[in-house]
Amino acid sequence: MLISVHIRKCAGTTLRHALAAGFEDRVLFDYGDQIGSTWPSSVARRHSSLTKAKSKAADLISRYSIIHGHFYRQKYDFLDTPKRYVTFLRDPVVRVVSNYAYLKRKPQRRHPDALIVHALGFSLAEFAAHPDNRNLQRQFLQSSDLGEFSFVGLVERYEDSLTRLSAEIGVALPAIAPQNTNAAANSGYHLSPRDRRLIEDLNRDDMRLYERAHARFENLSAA
Amino acid sequence: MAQRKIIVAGVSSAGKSTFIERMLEDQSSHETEVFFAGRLVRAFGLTGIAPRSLNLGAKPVAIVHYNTQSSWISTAEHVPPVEEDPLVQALRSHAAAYELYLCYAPDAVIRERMARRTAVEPVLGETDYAYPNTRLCAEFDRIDQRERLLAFAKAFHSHCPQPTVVFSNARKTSLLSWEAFRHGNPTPELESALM
Repeated sequence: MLISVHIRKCAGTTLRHALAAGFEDRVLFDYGDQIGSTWPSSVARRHSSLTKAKSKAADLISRYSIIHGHFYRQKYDFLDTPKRYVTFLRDPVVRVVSNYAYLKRKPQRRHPDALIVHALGFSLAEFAAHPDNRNLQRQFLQSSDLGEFSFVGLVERYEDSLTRLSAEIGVALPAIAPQNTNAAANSGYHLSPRDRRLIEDLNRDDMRLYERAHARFENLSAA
Repeated sequence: MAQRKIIVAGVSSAGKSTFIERMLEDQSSHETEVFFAGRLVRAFGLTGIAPRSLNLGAKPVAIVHYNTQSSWISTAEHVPPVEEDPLVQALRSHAAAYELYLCYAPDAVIRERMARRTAVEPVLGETDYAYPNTRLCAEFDRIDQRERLLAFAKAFHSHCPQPTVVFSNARKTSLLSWEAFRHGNPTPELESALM
């Protein structure tokens, strides 16, 4: 079973389309867990989702080859079948800014992770400092060394990453145009040096994780 | 007995008048006087940049209704920082302590209220002239509501370190602690108020 952890704003929606094309009905998309939100309704939702998944363990193993979505890496540890974990990481500063910009342009989003932006009007700096948004990549992966992952792609090297992922899983995944992106961000987000430093400081674990992933990616390229 | 001094602040359509009306339901009219910012400015000549003094009457309770959206020295191009407003300066020097209620609603809710509103301060009956929807909507789009509220609270920090936020959306009104408003920590109470 391939477990593909889609961290928010890390090209997962684009990958989702590639996986749907590559695996057809053998892929399960799991997007209900509201990871990175510790609002009480999200915590309750995750508990309920895990209970439900456990009750369908045999069915999951028989019907699916891959589970992809927003969930903590350990969610499917209970599946009694060999598992491989894959994910994509992104420059932590860019990811935070992209996440904030995404929520700002989705005022209709009814999701607790949007509350501080839509209901309370948090600025980028306030959003970044909120505990739910700090080191989000580590929160998703529950890992500090990526040792559990057989593949870690980089959003910044998406096409290379997709090629490698195809080789890793033995399925040719089609290159699909980026989905769920902000057209205005194509020229890069405008960020003051002060905000950049602040976001780096607030995401030290993610910075280290990303550096590790980057080094691992380059080492494989050199090999 | 010392006069109880209350400031109710927020942008236009944030719910200041409605909140004051609720407060007045619990007070007799001869005990409480409501001061609209515009009247204070005119009565005490608070239109220049030099600090001037003011008077909040002799009734046991004085409530100041203050619109944070602009200030009395704003121009069409520039809304100066809250702390530069002459009325803010006069209020700060007038008393050592205030009770501060900061009215806040999500931007989308404010815009919707502004669009359908027809009269200025209809609840308190202060005036009956038409609400300048277009001008206020345009003005609102030029400012950051939260930033101005935080700046207002900062200006009065020594007078009231823990203001109360009167949060309202399309469904209900809730009182939030200052910490909850500032940090948005995910508590059941805050989620219930915001959803």
